[in-house]
Amino acid sequence: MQLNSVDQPVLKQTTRPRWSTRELLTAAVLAMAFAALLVPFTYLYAAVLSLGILARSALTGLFFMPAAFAAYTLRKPGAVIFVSLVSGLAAIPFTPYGLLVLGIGALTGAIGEAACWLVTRYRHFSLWRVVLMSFATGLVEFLLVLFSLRVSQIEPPMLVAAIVLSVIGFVVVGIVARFLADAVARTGALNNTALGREREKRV
Amino acid sequence: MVNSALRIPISLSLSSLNPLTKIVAVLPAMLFVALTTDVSAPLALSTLALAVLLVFGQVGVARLAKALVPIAAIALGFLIFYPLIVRRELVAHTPVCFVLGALPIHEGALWLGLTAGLRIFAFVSLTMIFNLTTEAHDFARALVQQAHVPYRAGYAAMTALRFAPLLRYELTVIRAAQRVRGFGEQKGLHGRLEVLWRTAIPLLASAIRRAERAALAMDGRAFGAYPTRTDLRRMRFARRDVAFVIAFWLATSVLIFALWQLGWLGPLAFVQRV
Repeated sequence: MQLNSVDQPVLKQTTRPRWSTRELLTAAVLAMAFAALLVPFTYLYAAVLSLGILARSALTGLFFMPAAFAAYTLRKPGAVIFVSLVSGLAAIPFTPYGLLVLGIGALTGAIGEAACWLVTRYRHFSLWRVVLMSFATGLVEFLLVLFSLRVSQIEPPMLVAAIVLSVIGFVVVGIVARFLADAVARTGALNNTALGREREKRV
Repeated sequence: MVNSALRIPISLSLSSLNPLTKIVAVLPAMLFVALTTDVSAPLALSTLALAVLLVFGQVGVARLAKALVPIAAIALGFLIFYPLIVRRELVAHTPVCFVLGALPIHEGALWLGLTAGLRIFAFVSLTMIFNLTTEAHDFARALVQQAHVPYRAGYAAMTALRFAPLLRYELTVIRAAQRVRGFGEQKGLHGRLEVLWRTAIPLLASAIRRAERAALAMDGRAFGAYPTRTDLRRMRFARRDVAFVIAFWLATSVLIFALWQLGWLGPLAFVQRV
């Protein structure tokens, strides 16, 4: 901070922030709300994790919900990873996994962010593009966690079924997140987001 | 100052350490657990983690047991269900323990289930050093102050964490309002999903409106006007943080070396031929 001739503080800002405070807070609170909604599912996930790779694959997509919702409503670079991370951070004290939830959030967020950039360029969010974004995220996430599943120990048909289930789970969650965002947008709460502005233009 | 539970000075307690210190300390052990194929290393490392938590974490036995129950259940589930999906040719040479319908369950398959379950147990036990002794706000502060995460993002996350009790209250109010309108608890999967959908929309709408009001208030107080900001609470990497990391790494190394010397370590995942 510098002082000018009349001792008034001069605010120096080199670059304009790419995220407004409103957008940052909206993203963070969305993450918080999804953490509150998804915490019971982390217990269900813990219960089915032991039932085997198929049950685990079917439910992993649930953790993509905050990311898909943020991608569709905020449409900004970094939104997916930020919301996934904050959602994981908020869930740490309430889940059986603790820090691992943050790891899952980071992984889902990073892959989702890349898929969002590749498929939608943060502009085009037709249903098919959302399906494709979710498909890509589900597939890549499954392939990345394969090593932790000791793939060489598991029957190959079981693995193929797990990949298919994982991808279907992510696609269903992506579609549900899109419909949920549209439903929330109808309440007027999302008017200041990219989705709200797009809806205004359409009207 | 001394904590009354186990007479450990507060300065030695895990909660007084920088949150990032605890992650750095347990990360190598977690990576090693991911590579193990035997039961001894996960067992030894989870015992180390639980001992550290009981002595330095000031976590009561009851709280620790409560936190461990779901994870122990998962480990037990792995022992029961994992043998059903293991490749037959991997375990065909081992004796059959029992037959489940037409499916023979081999000793080798049970062993693989046990090692998978113990790996998960060890993973979670190690992360509990962080989970049970760290406040989410302190972690966010440490990310901003030591990991150089942009402070606007860090403080937005911290603000959102403060919304947690409000959102919980909001959730109760929404559910009560829906019950008053005759849409209470529903039975079956479809009913539960419908309740979740009807709860999610007002909860998200209300959360977003709260966030916008908070953002206006923060902007009104010049949040983000400067490239850096001061903090009421400074997180530091003190000598005790360095000492804890070195001590934990040393203890982990000694345990692994001892298991290797005794021949109990087993082959690691990347050198094991399956």
